[in-house]
Amino acid sequence: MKSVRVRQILLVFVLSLSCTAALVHSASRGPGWGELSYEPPAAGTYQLPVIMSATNGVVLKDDHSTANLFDLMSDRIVFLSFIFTRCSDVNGCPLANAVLYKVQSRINQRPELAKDVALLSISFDPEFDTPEIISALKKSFQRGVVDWEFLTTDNQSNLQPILDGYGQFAVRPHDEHGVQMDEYVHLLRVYLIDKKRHVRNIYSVSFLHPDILMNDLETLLLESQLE
Amino acid sequence: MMKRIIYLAMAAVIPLASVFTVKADETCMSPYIAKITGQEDYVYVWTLGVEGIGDEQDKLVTIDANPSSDTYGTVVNVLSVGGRNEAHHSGLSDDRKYLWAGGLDTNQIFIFDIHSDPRTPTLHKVITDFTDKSGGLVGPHTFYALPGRMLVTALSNNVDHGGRTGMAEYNNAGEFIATHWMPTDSDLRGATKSGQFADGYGYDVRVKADMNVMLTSSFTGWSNYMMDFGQMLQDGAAMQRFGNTMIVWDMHARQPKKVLDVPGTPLEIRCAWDPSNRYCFTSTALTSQIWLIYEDDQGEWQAKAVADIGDPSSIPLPVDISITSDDKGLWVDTFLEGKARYYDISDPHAPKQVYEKVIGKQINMVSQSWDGKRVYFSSSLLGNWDKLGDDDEQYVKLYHWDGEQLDHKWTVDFYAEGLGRAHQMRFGSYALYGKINPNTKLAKIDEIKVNGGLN
Repeated sequence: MKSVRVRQILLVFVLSLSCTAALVHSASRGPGWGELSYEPPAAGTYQLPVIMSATNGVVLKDDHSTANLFDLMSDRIVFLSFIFTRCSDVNGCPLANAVLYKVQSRINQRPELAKDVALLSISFDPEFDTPEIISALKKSFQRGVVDWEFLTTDNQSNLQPILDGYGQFAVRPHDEHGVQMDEYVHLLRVYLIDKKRHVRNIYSVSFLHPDILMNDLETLLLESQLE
Repeated sequence: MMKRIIYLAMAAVIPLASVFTVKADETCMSPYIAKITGQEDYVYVWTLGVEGIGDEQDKLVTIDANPSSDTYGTVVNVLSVGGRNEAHHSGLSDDRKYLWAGGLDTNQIFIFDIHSDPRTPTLHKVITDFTDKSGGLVGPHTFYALPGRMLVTALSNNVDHGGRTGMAEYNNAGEFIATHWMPTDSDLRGATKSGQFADGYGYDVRVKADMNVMLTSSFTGWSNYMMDFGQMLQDGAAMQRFGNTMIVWDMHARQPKKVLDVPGTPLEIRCAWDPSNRYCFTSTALTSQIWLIYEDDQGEWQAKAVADIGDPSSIPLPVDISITSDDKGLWVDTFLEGKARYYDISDPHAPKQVYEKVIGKQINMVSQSWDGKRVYFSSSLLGNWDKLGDDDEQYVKLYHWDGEQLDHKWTVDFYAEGLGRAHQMRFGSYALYGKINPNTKLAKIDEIKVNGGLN
């Protein structure tokens, strides 16, 4: 069993490395891997209307402790992503991790923002993504003063209400013999949640870019200053 | 051997041809939407109820489109919604679990569950307060999926029932988020008026996600689209109330940036998929032209007529258009001629017609598979605008396209079946939900690619 765990953790590191490599080979990949081809609207010049309320749920942290999502959000603006470590599509979970990594780096350069921001990445593959796996993932990605938590769940019954609440589409298809496959079919989605636990933006591959996420973050911070 | 290769997620940010080996079912949908490729299982047809036909109600009609099924080419489910609403357009949510469909007259929006049992959709929710929540929008038209949301264009307003209108944004649960009004001469909303018009009219919407650009087009208001077609043509004042504009928006900010003159009522918008192709097309209903909406060498968006459709002086009335996935072909339907034309748009500044075929006595919508090999046509334009008597054919027809000609495969006669007027067609597939079609002899998933593209 231990050797299996070791192989799983090694896989996480390999995926992390491939993520880094993908930063270099950015042609034919989502814009989040490179430079935006347009100037996004400046922070504070546009509105981010409330899309829906955020959803609470019970999650497992990398130290095996349980927590409520809302407690982890605390009184902060949150970027929430859904990932799974077996995700092999460069424009899937590796992109989400890479973009949030860049956001983290920018916030680390402006540490005054760190207390107002949290990054949460939840696995929708609890069967494989154990606390050990997500702990390895956290070690690969979390840097500096930013609170970036990698989370999983005890089981599907704890996970599904969270996925349903955010509308994160993810299914494990069956093959022609009726056997459920390991891979998930999913749409990459990252959620921006304000301090009042309202979802204010939902990002897809085509505009999941650190420039846009940072502008949206600053737009919400400016908004909260005016309240 | 039946191939059913499925990919979720694709779109418009990078050169598709170099990245994706298979693509979406339709070539005209939102870039943010989950996509199927290969063989669609069902065609969902949002259908207008007609007095004296069947139960006379608007309905969602499900046609079996999988040739491996025993019921291929036949109606396998009918779901009536309890009245007539001027059923018109429909659109899939980004995860394709739900189909949204609108009533231009009653302003009701029907949300159908198509994932629990793709063969037998159910009515999940009805939005009845579209006008109140949106602050006066009338005539929900295009349903365009955004991540976790649905953008709904309107055609009119509840003050004068003319063409001044906007768009409403909903979340996927059907809860209202915001209204985005079209810029007008009296309130340009920060946009630049580049020509003669700023009419504030609306119709279709499309997004070039790779450019952060949203485009909208313009039609006419409730007072016209609910009027008898012949009567309207004789009403000079009514004929002045048609849109002449398209709007270029900052997509992320939902901010109108530029009002373009596109005289003659620009309807459907179809954008090139390849990010290096920085343009979209529309057709003008009243002047029968193909227009190119494009970014010029200076980065400015421009509009220009690039081809005639048939003989404009005979008013063929172009309606739906459909771009191919390689950006090289454009189908153009002309309602009054009942004809489908195919244009070579390899040079977007000089489209050339290379094929035409009469499909029926009237024609409106066209939907093609991503590979372009299957092309579906439907017949109805508007309840009061469709032809009369024997010319009022109502159908969905499937043709196979080999690049040179259309080969008819089957027709569902919507009057003979007691259904009504066939309008918008959307595709469904079990494979989108990780399921196998239980009705096919060779049910098999050959390949699945996870998150196989951009969206």
